[in-house]
Amino acid sequence: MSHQGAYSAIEIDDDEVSRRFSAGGTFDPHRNIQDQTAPKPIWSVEYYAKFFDVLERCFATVIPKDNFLEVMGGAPDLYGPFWISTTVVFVLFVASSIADSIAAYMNGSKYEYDFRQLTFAFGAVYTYAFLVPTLVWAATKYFGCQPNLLEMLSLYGYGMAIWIPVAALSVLPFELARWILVGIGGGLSGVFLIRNMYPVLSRAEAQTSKIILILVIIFHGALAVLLKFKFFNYTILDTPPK
Amino acid sequence: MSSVERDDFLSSAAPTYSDTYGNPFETNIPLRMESPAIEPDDVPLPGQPRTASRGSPKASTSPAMNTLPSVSGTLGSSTTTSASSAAAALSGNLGVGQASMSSPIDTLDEPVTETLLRDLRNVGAKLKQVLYPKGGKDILRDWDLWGPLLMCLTLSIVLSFRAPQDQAITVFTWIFVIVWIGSAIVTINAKLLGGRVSFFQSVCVLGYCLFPLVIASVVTVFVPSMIVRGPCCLAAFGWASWASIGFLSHSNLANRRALAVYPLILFYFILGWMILIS
Repeated sequence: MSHQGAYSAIEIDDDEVSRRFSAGGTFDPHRNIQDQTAPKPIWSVEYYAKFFDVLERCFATVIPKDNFLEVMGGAPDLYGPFWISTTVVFVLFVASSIADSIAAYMNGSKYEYDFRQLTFAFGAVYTYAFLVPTLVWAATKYFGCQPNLLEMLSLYGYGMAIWIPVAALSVLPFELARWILVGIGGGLSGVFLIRNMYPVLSRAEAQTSKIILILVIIFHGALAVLLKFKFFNYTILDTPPK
Repeated sequence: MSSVERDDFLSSAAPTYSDTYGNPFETNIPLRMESPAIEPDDVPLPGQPRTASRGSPKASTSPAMNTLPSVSGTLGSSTTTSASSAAAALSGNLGVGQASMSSPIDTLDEPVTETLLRDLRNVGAKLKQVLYPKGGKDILRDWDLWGPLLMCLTLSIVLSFRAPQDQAITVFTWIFVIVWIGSAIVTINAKLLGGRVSFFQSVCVLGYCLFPLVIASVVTVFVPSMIVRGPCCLAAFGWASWASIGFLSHSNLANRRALAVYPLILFYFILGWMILIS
């Protein structure tokens, strides 16, 4: 991915474009000091700034009607995956603590929060948002599908966005509604993942691509079930303890 | 006589030439060892001071010393440039960074209480500036991590006191980790978005902005009623976010400001939430 390609797809104002191009033009030793927008070396934090460019891409994942890789336009980013999964972690924690306090209220018992849920949410969500796409990337790379690691991370990261409204709505104390919500969340993000991953997977042999696809679905289902039982689950006793 | 002067002129001109282009056979060792140290400072001061300082010793030494005019001339010039540039760098550092730290007070003889109190007063002055960010922001250039550490420890200790017995350690750990890692990540995020913020300065501001939340956590210790705690935590969250966003507005983020502000709000929100439910 060249610099040019990365920038062309992103909306930046003309001023910035002109500065970027002027910085690369003639060599002037003083400009490097004055002009901070000059190209950065790979070890500096600023170099990675281009991976963090803007996105209102979340909505494209919640309503998956277009090919997401086209929505990204060849410029995947890391801002989305990281902050979406962090938001999911916190929303899960907040929602589950609200749900627990409602349950405690309805049971007539005293509510005690559970910080271990936060630990668990961090582990589960970050594993799914970062480790699983890396594994998928490694597997598809091995079978010659020419995947892009950033695209994989973006897919999984943005795919997490659906869990934010699902977690918020799962506060409702109706078991059936929560099952339906988890079903919708898991289903939508699963469809989203597979639709966007299929063009990459289909480059491999039919047999291997099928196996990888099934593994992806299994991982996804496991996450949905895990979230359901760990966070969207609380029991209301029929007879409150006296 | 004229031939001697000519010789002198030539012999004194040759070393400057070799110094400029770094010929290893004509320059002596100390010169070559010194040159890289001067290198970075040469760039912002193009030409002028260098030639000026070189000219004067050469002019004074070349007629007087016939034996080794080259060595003394270049040595003198190079040491003056290095000394002047070092002095410039030193004064620059002093002027920009540690203006209030390098106070002329003699701190050797004072009692320990005075030292501690001065640090506390320093923290207090910064706190005032952070919590009412309409005034000047100069004090925060000179960042420290004592204030953030104080805030972070108070918050985590208060919350872990109120935690259920078996979770006190978890709560303490989480608050501590969220405050430090969280503020570091929020800062790195702002840097990644192209903002010009200094890392520790930003961590310092974020830490000081925790103060409203610390007050809220102390209030929640005494008031168990949710009706008081809810608005209290909300107000603290709003205040902390508002104060820290005010500092972020200087960081030249242009149209990506919302992307930098969102993690900040998330950071204070989760802390506020922990205070609320504890």
